[in-house]
Amino acid sequence: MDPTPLPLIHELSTPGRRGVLPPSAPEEERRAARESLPEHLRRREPAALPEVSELEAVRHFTRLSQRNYSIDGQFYPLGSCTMKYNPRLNEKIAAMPAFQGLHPRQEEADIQGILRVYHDLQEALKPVLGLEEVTLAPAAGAQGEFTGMSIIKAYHEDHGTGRDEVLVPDAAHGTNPATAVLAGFKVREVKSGQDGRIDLDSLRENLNGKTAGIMLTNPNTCGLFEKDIVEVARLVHEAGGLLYYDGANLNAIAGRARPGDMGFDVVHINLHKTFSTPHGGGGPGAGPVAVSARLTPYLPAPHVIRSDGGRYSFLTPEKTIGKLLGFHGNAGVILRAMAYTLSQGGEGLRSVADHATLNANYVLSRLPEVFERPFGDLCKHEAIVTVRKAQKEKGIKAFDVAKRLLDLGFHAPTIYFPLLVPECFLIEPTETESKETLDRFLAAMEQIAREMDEDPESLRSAPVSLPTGRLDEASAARELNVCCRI
Amino acid sequence: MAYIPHTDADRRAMLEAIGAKSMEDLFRDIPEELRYKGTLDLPAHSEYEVEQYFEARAGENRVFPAGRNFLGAGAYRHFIPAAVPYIVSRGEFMTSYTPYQAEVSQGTLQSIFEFQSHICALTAMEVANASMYDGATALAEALVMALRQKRTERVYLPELLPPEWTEVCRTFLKGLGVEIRTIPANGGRTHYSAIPEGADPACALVVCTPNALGGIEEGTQAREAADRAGALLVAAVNPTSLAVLTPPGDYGADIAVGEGQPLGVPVSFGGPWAGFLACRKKFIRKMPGRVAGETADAEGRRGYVLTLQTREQHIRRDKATSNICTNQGLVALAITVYLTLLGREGLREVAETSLARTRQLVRLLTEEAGCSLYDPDTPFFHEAAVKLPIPAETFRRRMKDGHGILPGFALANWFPDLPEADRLLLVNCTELISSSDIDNYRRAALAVLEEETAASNAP
Repeated sequence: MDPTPLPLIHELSTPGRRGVLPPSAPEEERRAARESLPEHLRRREPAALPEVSELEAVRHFTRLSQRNYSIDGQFYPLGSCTMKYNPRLNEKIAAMPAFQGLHPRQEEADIQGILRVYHDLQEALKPVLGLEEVTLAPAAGAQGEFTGMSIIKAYHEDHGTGRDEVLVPDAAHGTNPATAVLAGFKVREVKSGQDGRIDLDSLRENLNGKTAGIMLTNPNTCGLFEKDIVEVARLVHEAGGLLYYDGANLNAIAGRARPGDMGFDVVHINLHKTFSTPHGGGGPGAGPVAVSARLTPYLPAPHVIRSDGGRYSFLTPEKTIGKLLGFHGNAGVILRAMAYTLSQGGEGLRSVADHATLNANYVLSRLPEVFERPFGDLCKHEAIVTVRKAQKEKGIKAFDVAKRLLDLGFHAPTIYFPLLVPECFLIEPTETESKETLDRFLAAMEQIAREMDEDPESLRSAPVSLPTGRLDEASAARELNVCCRI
Repeated sequence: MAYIPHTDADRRAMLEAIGAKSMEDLFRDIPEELRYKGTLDLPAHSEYEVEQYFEARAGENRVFPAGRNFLGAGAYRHFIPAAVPYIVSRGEFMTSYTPYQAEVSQGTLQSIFEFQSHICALTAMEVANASMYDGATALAEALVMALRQKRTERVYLPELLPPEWTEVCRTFLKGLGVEIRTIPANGGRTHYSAIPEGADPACALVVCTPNALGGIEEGTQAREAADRAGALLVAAVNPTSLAVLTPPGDYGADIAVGEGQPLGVPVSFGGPWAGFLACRKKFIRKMPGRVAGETADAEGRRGYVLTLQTREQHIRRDKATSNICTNQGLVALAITVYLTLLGREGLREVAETSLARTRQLVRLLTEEAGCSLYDPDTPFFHEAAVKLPIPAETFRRRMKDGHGILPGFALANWFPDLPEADRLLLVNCTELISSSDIDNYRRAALAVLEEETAASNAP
């Protein structure tokens, strides 16, 4: 690949050059319009946008795209992110003019089709999660968490419990504590045991009359099923708290176990993970929330219901936590997820969990020994391993291994998360990868294991085969150049 | 099974390598009583059957042609160049994830940097982030950001903020114990003098321009009011309007936010869209969300990374500036490509044409159809509040049912307490509305008004 950095689009700009011409009123009408504005409210200097031809723009963004790894191009076993294949059918559906062209303020009689899609997906998710009601309003996983925690807050306020503390395991996703604070709670950390699961003694110590709830992921961020979950639920419920389920890892258990049966009161899931909608370099996603019967009055607005006559409409629940977005959630993502749900059906979803778990366990069983397994040999949809010994003995860090994997044509797994395992990798292959791909990845990991002994420098200097070498993150934070000026 | 490549032979070989007896055996760590024994009552569908389901749903929606849709009120139909969806649908962008491994994410990172640059250029602010969920949440996050900067638990929001935005701010601020005060309107614009010298202090004061009635606010008056309350000035702006209107940086805004949808994103029933958030550089460490920054590799070659991650949830956990994890990546990319293709001249033509057409529509309604502007003294951009001689809801229904035109938004839905609220209609034109579309509107409106007036005069 050409090792020259690509110019910024602004550096390609030539004064007077035009890209695509929009429909435009004649100049005299536009001048009259301009001059109708009071002079002091008019922009003095034109906004410094680039001036390039359409071809220059298309070529620029095409060349930029070629500097990305992606699921379409590479194996992308990023733990906790569920980077599965994004079916093209779903893209075709979301691009249909009858959905893309819908104005969000059209009246309900004219939007029955999209409302039915919302309702059908709500209904399809309920049995998967084992809960009473589902909302599709949240725009992302983190917003789903905020929704769930705001519902718990509203419940306690409504019942005058005065509870304002939320328990979060030390291995939790960072969004959990950040969300609890944003929703107005204080956070107490619960320790994990040696086996990578929640420590029941630490849980008991932290429960008290202020406990509003606990936020848990199951399987947890170590890829392990919380086998004491029923006991955890009993303890928290008896103490007066509610259980929040972070559904980031639903891909491991859909159709095999249900958060509602485990005792959870509120669940968020990520349509961009289990339900295959594209991650898009960081969004958009969607984070539906499911709740038990006692929490339905607090769901966010608007909520889609079906009346007896078969009409679909928006409803604002009685004690709603309020609106989360300007409009009705990420409709485009909801359409894709519905297409996926229809494609898979109930049996297909279970098969997804089975094969995601099969793939992760296969990788775990075949990795070279230098990748130690801190929590035994059975995982769910993702596997955690660590190179802490190699780090101690040879000074080779998880970071180095990750960069070397990039050289070998693989996106690296998640590194340094969860925080409780030093020098760790979280490997999530997903069900859409074939055995051959996993074998190629395992061969690369074997090569790296050999290089730790034979050629450690190739690890420390990686990546070398990409147009960009290791980037200096410290200098970026020091210089803080976050936009260019022309 | 859809999208699963495993053959029977693969499954056997893999289970054997693992040492598991069966697929069920992989779930032996789930306590027996929690293993789901039921079946999910949903059949699998072929690709063709899935398409048929959505064709049927599509038929239950009614989409109006651009030239017959004068409904704005927060969602605006603009021309979208063909190259925008093409670039955005490239698998290298669409199927990548948040750029944790910078060396294999330079495409995403540089495009975010270019997005931030475009937003800074439009708003005349110093720094911008990689985008937020939408405009309303961008505003709410800006208020949280101001709270972390100033630590005063009060904000001033204008009465003429779109009510959904106010509600989203309320949802966000509830848990943080922030008091929301309203700055009253005076006609079609905000009465900033209502915040006197010595007003109760606040962390933020918001100017929304154009406001919910389409009126252009006086940014400098808002700046002075913010100073009187010791508050940061947060400007909520329409990005298209910034091609012709004074940008927030020029009237001293501390934070500028807005909805990016008008910049190349289909209305799509309200999402996914992308909000933008820009601010003065001195506040960057309190900014929520992802930020791409420039740096270099060991050989001095320029590259981009996510920077200032120490503000973020995955590092700071309960001390993070926000719980947001990512941005609206692909939507921000669409906006970047749109602004690049339109360029500085194209965006100005879009803004001026939208304004010209809106003026044309307002002129015919006021000169020929017996309407008047709600506030003739407040200038407007591409949307205006018009008072009709008949109830706006009746007009809307008759225009739609009889003529296939969405004539605007009945403002009583938003502001039932405004004088003669039931007669107020918010009309919007963009560059997609042609002169002949306005002529169609004119003929339909005159017919509807004549019939309604005749009906009400009938004995």
